[in-house]
Amino acid sequence: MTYPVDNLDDAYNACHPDKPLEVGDPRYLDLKNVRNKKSVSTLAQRIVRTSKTDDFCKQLVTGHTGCGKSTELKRLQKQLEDDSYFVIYLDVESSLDLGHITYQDVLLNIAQGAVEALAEAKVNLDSALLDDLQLLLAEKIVSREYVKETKTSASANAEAGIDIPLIAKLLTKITGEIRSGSSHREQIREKIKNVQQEFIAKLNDLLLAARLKLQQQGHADLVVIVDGLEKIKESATYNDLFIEHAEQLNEINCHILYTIPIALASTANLGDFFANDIFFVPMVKYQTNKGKQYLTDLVNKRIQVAKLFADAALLDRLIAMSGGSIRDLFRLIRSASETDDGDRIQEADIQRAISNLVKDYDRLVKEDDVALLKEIAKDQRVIKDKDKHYERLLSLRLVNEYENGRHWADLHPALRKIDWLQAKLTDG
Amino acid sequence: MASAVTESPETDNFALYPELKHLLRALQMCQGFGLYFTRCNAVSLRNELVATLKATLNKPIIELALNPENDIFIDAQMTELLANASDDAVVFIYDLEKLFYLKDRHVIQELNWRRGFYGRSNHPIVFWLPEFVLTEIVNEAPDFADWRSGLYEFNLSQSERLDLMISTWQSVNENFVEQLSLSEKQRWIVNIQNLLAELADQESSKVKDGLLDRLGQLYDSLGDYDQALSCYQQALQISQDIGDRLGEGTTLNNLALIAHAKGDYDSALHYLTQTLEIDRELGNKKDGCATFNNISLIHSAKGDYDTALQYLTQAMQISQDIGDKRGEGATLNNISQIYQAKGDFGTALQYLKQSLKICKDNGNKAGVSATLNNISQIYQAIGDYDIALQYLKQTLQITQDIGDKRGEGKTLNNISQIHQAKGDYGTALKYLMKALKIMQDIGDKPGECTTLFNIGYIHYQHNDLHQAQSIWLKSYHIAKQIGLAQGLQNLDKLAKNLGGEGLAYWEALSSSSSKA
Repeated sequence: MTYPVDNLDDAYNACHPDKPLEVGDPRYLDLKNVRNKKSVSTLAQRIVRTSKTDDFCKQLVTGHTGCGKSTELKRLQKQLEDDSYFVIYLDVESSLDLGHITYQDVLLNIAQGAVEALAEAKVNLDSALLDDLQLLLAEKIVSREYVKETKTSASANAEAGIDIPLIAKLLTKITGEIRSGSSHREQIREKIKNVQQEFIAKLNDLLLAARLKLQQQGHADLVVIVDGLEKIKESATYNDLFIEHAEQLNEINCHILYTIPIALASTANLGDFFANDIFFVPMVKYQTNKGKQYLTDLVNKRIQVAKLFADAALLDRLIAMSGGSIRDLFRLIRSASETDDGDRIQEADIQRAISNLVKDYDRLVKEDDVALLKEIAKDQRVIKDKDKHYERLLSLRLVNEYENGRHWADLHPALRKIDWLQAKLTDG
Repeated sequence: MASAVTESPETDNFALYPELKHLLRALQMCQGFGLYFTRCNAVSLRNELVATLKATLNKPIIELALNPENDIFIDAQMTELLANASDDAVVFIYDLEKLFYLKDRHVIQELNWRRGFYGRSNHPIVFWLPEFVLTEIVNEAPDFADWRSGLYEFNLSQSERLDLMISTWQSVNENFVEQLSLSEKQRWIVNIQNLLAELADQESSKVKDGLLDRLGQLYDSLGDYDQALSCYQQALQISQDIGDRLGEGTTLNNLALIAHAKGDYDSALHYLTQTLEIDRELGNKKDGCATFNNISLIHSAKGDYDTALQYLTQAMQISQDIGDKRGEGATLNNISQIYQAKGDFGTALQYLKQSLKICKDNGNKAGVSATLNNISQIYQAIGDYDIALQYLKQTLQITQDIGDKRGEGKTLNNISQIHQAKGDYGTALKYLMKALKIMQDIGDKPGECTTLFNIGYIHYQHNDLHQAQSIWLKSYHIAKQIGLAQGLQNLDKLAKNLGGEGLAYWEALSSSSSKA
């Protein structure tokens, strides 16, 4: 497809509420100027600077769902790779069970992802190191029989060409059991906990060896990106992971980046273990002229607005209703493109798209939310309440956070169109 | 008007349901993955809309109707169906609500954490959902819901909604109310009240009558006897106005059940005599058998076992004549209760074994569960606790399998009584707390009253009279509030054992503790 597209059928498929952009996609637009100058270059810079020292750069990244975070992280990976870094990108969402995740799972997944990525890149690690880790798994975490079984089934399915070491298969099998919630899961976690220091030490030996090897091969350094953790829903789960076990996550000896839920970032102080500021990808400030212009440009990269909207001002109305959320904006454009009126988006389509979005948000607002929403609407500030109510509002995007010099928050504009809620907000 | 009658209803759906053309357009445009939700509360409407889409969409539609028996992941079922489908196929997924109540399967959360599998399917996917599941998805699977490209609402007209509701109620089995949680009961109550409000200015009708009866049953199950009575009285008036004798009989029977629970045996008998007349007039033998059973229960409650047995013998005769196995099982059970009350455990057990066989042969699970429970009571009475416990465990399993929450609570209560009799107060208390939780969850006030009474007893046996009194007081307040005769009788006896003067003891305790 050639962007920007010139007909509604293509426009529909050019705007996805469900997919991040791959690196190099012509639809990409850097939004740092409307995101308080923040872009992935900042993250990359921190890593580049730290790798000149003996330290490792540990970073946390957060943002609203659908704000373009995954798109940005994929760009970070590309940028670092262009600077000759070896990047291991882990999408935890597809490898672990986010509903019941623990730090042991994350550590295992890092080990598994690293061993696999290194093997695929034909970076041959010292076999003694791999054997060491394998021995720890066999003796203290699973069992010798388990390892033997894995070996047998692995050789039965051996594929010609790629030589994946047994340890990689073993880690993949264990991670798989953790993900599928097998009865074995608790046992494995308990055992990792018992030998936690040893496990982390072995993993670190491996990462350090890999780093040396990579540097010999001309790579600048090794970076691990752990994406997907921001989607953990239960506060008990993410508190356990990032607060109770921050130490373990921080003990990994390589440059590493974890995504965290926005609700956690807004309420907890994680500075003790993670030296860098939490990198927050804010919503685009759709309220300012500059923000509006960027969002218009973003759409213009994808579709020929002048040709496909009966009036260019109609797009402004969709932007005003998006709250600065890229995902909501594309959903609105998709809805509006479902016109029954020929080849252009008309006034009536805009009205329908907006009214549908308002109905969607109406489903999410509960009577209990009203008091807090009222307070936020009045002061436009970030609230730290102890009963996690604000966290709910943030994670459902009923409230969005923005940044210009300071953090501030406002209701999603769709909420202002919900009649019953508006009556309560203005009442008294 | 001279307009022609349209032969093709499909063409009208786009006019009747404006969102349909937008959905059609979206599906036509969508390439690769796209997630769509439609809100459609009625299967009949859904079928109609799908038929229209099939006739107009220029892409193949692959349909997946979910089935609670199949515990394979939804996305995996979908992948299997798509194996040989053409690239532009659209997937329609139906009946997610049927999986919603499955225990041990968190269907909604599953959507959230397995959403990657849907995303990789490369086909547009449309979930056809009723409102309550949709609300559940946007709240409990927010990341999945956030991928949606569109949500399309299709509304039924008022009369269609009414029909739908009535047919839903009629399609569920007779133990339906027993299976509902408190919040589900409340939802039904609101729904029915809304419908009644919409029908307020219409004439008396069978529909109104039926709705009032159902509303009464819901209130009854919550122990809200006054509201239930008011519904039944209105229903009675309507059925008399429109001359619906069958409806009148049902309502009179329901009125009798309330009067029984409140200990007003004379009124109960009065209602049942009228019911019996109607059964005779209509030649309705099956209901007649049930009425005889209910009459026997009143005489038995009054301690007049001989009269009770006479009625049960008549009931037995009728059910055997007409081959009503369900009625026969119930009657045998009731006969056994009389012998048990008289202390003739051997005869009681014989009747129960007959009843068990009949219920099992006829796949009457609720009957099996009630019978097993009664058998356990015999063994408990003769002190054979282990066998009693075995029967109760079977009962518990069945109540859980058929979703009979009230029965489950009652069984847990009975299990606790065995442990108490064995002197294991800790285990007894554990079961009582479980029972209490269920009864509170379903709003079963009479059950709560009994269970609190038993919990108080455990504390009493632990020499904690203070704690026991405060819990018994709660039990008393419930019994008094709903007018539960059985509960008040027990409390009266208890007060006397404690050296008080019957119920006055609790009143005095109540006023002194509220002052403190």
